[in-house]
Amino acid sequence: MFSNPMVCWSCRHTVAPQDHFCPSCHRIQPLEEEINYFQFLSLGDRMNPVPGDLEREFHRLSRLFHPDYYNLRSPEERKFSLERSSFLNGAYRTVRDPVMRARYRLKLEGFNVDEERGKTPPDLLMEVFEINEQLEELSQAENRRDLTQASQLRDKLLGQAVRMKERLRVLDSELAEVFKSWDASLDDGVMPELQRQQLVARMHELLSYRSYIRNLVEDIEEKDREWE
Amino acid sequence: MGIIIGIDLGTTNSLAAYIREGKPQIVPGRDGNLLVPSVVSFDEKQGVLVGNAAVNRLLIEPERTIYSVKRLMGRGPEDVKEDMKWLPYAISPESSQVVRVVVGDRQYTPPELSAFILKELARSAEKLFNQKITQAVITVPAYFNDAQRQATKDAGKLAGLDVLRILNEPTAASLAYGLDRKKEGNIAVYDLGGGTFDISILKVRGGIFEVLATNGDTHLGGDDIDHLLMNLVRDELKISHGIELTGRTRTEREFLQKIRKAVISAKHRLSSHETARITVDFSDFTYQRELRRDEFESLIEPIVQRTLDPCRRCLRDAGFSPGDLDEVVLVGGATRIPLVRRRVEELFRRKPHTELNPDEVVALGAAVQADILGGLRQDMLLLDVTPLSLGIETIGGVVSKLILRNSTIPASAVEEFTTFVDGQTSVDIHVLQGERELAKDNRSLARFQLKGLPPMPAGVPRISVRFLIDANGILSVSAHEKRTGKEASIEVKPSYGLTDEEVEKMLFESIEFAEEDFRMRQVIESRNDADTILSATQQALESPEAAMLEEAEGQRIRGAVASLQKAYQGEDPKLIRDRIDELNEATLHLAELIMNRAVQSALKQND
Repeated sequence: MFSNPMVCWSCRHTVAPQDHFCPSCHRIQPLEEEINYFQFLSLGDRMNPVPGDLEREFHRLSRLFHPDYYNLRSPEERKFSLERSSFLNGAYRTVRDPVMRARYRLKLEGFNVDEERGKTPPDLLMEVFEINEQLEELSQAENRRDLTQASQLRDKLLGQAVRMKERLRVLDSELAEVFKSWDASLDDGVMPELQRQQLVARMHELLSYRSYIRNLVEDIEEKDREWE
Repeated sequence: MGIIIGIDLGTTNSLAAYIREGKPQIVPGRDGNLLVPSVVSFDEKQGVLVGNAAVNRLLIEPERTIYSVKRLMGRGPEDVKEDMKWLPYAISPESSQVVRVVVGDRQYTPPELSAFILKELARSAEKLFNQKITQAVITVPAYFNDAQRQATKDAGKLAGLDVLRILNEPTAASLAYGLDRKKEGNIAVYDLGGGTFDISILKVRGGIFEVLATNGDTHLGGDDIDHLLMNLVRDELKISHGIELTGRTRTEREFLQKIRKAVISAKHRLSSHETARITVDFSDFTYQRELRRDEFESLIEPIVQRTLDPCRRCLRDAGFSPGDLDEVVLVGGATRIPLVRRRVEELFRRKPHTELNPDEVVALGAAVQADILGGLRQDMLLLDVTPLSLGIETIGGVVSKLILRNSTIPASAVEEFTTFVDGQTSVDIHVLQGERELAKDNRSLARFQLKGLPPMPAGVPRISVRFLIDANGILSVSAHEKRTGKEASIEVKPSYGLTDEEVEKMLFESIEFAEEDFRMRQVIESRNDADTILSATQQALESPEAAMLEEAEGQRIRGAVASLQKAYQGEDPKLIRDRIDELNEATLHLAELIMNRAVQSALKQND
């Protein structure tokens, strides 16, 4: 399967890694491990797809790969259709969401971005301290069955959550800016390695910051659900 | 390429459909009705009865008549305790991963019982097309888990059908609607059936039906409304007549079935009338009660409310507010209830569509999907999702999610495993479905054991395991060790349901039983023919012509009668037939004589 140069499993004609179908016999090809989601969705190296275009491409490729259309074909073709359509579904799910898209890019660039909470960003220290204190006070008020204070704290925390969500929106638009710069740089020709590194670093920074805030919001919302 | 039929295997009714000239049509049942009640009855004389013939036996032999078997599919005995309080049949105490229904001295699993219904539908289609039906698309509730889907597939296999696709009911309905209206936009399908509730939100664009989110409750439906009404009658009987019905004795079970029949007809009437009368005839008195629609509505409000939370969650998962929807479609018999329609309208803030018959629309959609799989139409494509997240148990009983709910299927995930002990040659993987954090709160799906790993120091092997949910929503798992490239062998222990071997064995046995059933029918038919000729011979031997026979001829007839009577005692249909032929031959002359007299007397009368 990974022999070089690649040939069609059926007619032995030469096949390029990005070919979904054999250029000669038009049969569906097995999935190459090296291909990434961006290439698969015909985005090349781009980071900022037009949402409508992305959906159209997803639908176009779905029509080409979906197992429903391979029911009468050979076992090999059915297997490859399953491989390609499940890969396509994963690719679309990841790429259509900006945060998952950025995380996937970072993974391709060799970063291991997991959901874990890292160090508290310095400019958030005060607010994190305050939120944690209020969460703690809320638990205590609940234990004392002091409903008046609990309700006040809850309102305060929900106010914090609203502010945090506003921050998330700002971060999202900053992330969108990075995607734009990335694509603009590609449009100019080959992206200089230094610039690529800077943009990747910026994405990494935004994502860590974002997941930190996201976790805080979730803590508050979880507490709020408990309270109800 | 034979005909592929679409089957809606429902809790209350089942039906099959096919495509004729591009349009889906329902296959009429063998008794002429379009709906085949999902009821199977085991009659000692007539054998297995399905559909309306079986419904009639609910009042006569409730413990040998099985309905709502769909509620038992893919479930363990613990899951169905509440149902068993209502159902007149019993389940075996030996049931473990799969429920076993006791009928006389035999036991049947839910897939076997469903197979009887599927066979009946296939036979109706065979009668219609005059050819063998071997392929089908079968629908299931969208919120069915892996075990429930697998059980449905097993049922198809046991019915001799190659199940080309397990299709979600609300999505099937959307296909039928899409075909009918050719409209694009965002659609919510609200499907409240006999035993299950589903809500799905789809985006329809350029012939692509993309499911964005689905939610539901596989234990919520019209059956639960029936139980509420039965409870009402039961409580009143206790107060007014001091009768307590627990369903323990046969008479009580029959009474409960009478009550069930009466409350169902009242429920149906209340969809179009303001009041209904519940009348139950018991042997020594008649129970009567008037039920107003407002009483009925306040009684069932909690059930209707239970459908609304899944709807809200589904909207949230789709990233929609009610205003983003272009249409709401109602499916399932219980959506005829005015209160259900009102609540749906309030939640989604628009009048729901009810143009297509809510009992038929799922089967019609299944036929459309059958057409797609048969390569006969490529203008439509369904992109469905998996309703529940798939995960594996990790240290501390915590679930690590691999495929999130509402992921488009087919969907796959690859996870790497390693060993913890030097020389370890197998790894256990516990796969679960559900949204909760802890393994114990989710549905256990199966335990996989990776075996035959090359012995290496702890942590060195890198076993890559691929989890694949196919277009049926059913999981398969494959694995290979990355360092050696060796395929790892996997032993699967499903937590609920039948193993492949068990299905094979049942299939084999059902063929054996079918042969035995066929032989028994031949015996019965030959005995019936023997009865006819024996009584005719008896009459002939008493006629005046018998005296005119030679002694030897008379003896030959009596000898042939004796040997037929002897063969009659045995169970060899061919022997009985041979003896009938012999007796026929021996009485040929006598029959001629009698015939002559009859002809002559007829001539005389004419003179």
